[in-house]
Amino acid sequence: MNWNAVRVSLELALTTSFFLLIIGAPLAYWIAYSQKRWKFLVEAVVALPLVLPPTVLGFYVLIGSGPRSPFGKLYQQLFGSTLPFTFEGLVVASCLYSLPFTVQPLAAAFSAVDRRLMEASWTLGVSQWGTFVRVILPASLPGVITAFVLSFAHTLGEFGVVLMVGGNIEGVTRTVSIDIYDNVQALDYAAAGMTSAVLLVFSFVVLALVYAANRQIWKLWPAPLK
Amino acid sequence: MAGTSEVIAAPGKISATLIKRYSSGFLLDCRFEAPIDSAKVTALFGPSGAGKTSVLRCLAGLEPLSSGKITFGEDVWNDVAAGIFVPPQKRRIGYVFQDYALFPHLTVEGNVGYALRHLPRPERHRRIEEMLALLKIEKLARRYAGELSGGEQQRVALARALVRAPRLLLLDEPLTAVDEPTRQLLRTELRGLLKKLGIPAVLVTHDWTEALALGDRLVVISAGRILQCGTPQDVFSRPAHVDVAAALGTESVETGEVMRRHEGMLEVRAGKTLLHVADRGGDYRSVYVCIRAEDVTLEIGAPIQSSARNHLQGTVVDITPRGLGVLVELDVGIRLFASITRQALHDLHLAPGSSVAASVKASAIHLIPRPSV
Repeated sequence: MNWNAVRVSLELALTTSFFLLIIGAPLAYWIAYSQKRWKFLVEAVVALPLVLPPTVLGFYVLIGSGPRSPFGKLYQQLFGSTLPFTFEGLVVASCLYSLPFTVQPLAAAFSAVDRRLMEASWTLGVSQWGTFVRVILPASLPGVITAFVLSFAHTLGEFGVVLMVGGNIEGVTRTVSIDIYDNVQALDYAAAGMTSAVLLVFSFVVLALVYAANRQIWKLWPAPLK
Repeated sequence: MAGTSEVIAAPGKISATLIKRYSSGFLLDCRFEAPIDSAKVTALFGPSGAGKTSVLRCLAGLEPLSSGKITFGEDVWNDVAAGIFVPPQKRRIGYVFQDYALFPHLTVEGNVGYALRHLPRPERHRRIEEMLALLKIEKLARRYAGELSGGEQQRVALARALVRAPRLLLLDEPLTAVDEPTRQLLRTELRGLLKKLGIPAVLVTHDWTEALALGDRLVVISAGRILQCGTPQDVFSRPAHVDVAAALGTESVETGEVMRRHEGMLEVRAGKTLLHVADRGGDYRSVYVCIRAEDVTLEIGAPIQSSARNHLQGTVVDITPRGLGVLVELDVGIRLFASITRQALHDLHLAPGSSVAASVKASAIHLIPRPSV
């Protein structure tokens, strides 16, 4: 097993899921509560990574973050380096790639929150932001967990985007899925099988946990109102 | 529409012209005033679907108006023409939702202290404890909302709304979600509480006994429009609209005073008349005396021996057909309605001006404790 690849994969997945929660929560809030008629357009854009081939997404990220694009230039001026073939570049690409896996569970959870609880909070003088933190988030806890775990698992398993944006630099951008591909290319089936099995078991455990959380196997909070 | 939206801000009252179109096609078009200078309770009374809750939501700022204006004392809460909308957070109101909307992830303490986050911890705890004691729910402090009965939830919801001393309390069917015996008890308590704290309230109810027991003023609403405003007695005894009469049922309602309690019977003075009423318990003096027209029997000639405790001499004021029978309006010292058949009307030769005796059983007189000012 290539433990370096495992470390890169875990770091990437954790960083991505963390940033996605921060980016995804306001986006999901807007999708859940906005009355705008063009909301469906935003929903469609958020869902794009579900249907686009990872290579297409990777291609655009590569071009968009390259030194000739406006974003790439800005990034280079700010941080003194370019994004492609770096860990940071991978994080940006992964955030785009896993966006629907964060936003959709969050939006579903937010819109399932009893509206009267929010209204009760407002009439008690608590701001929209305060209400989000103190009522909506606790009430959507299973959704938040689902969003985090799904984007974590999805990032862990990505291949095409990583290959396009990250290249294959040992210890920096070589993730588990690419390591497996390399092993197979080198006809090292034992190593590939070992890593694949670890990924398989890990993914299964993660998904089982998500479904368990959604079924309220554990009490995330006390008994619901009668 | 333009003519109806002149609301003049004035101290001591809420003035509201509420016009709100809903996507369902429902149109709310109400104009009313409610006193706020003391602990006055305004009861919004009407059948379900009349728009009562919508009025409350507009007052709370949970729904902006389509047009119109709301002023609270000298503050403007919503003025569509001037582009003013004060959000619910800034109106300093207390809102008790119909099914209470307690936060399920918080304990009773957490719910009651929810609005007090900005206070230092000792002060917050003092205020929470004070409020729990006031509503007699200290023992529930560490329970979660899901572990409470309907009556307990109602108390917690009240405590949560009252804890930051709102300028106005809005109550949406506060007693519908609890069972009947509890409701009687809570009604008396709620009344006392509102008077004690001196907070004006607007209350929504479809139950006329509740409207009578809690309201200093009644606002009758039906199909999105205000039909009548006034004191409960005015509205009940002189319904201004057939819809109001229909909503109330044919009842004679008079104010009365309990003069004497004796061996399970009460003597109640209403107008110039002394009534004998079965004592159903409770300690009160001022009451509304309610008598259903169906429970009044008419007699002419010499008084007969009867089990009915009340025999009231008087004259017929008016006779109106109603359904299969007629409704006879009497003056027996109080205004009294009797519902009798056409056959009985014919046999007794009744006409306006006729002398008649009305008899009512002591158990057929319903007393509703009246808010004492």
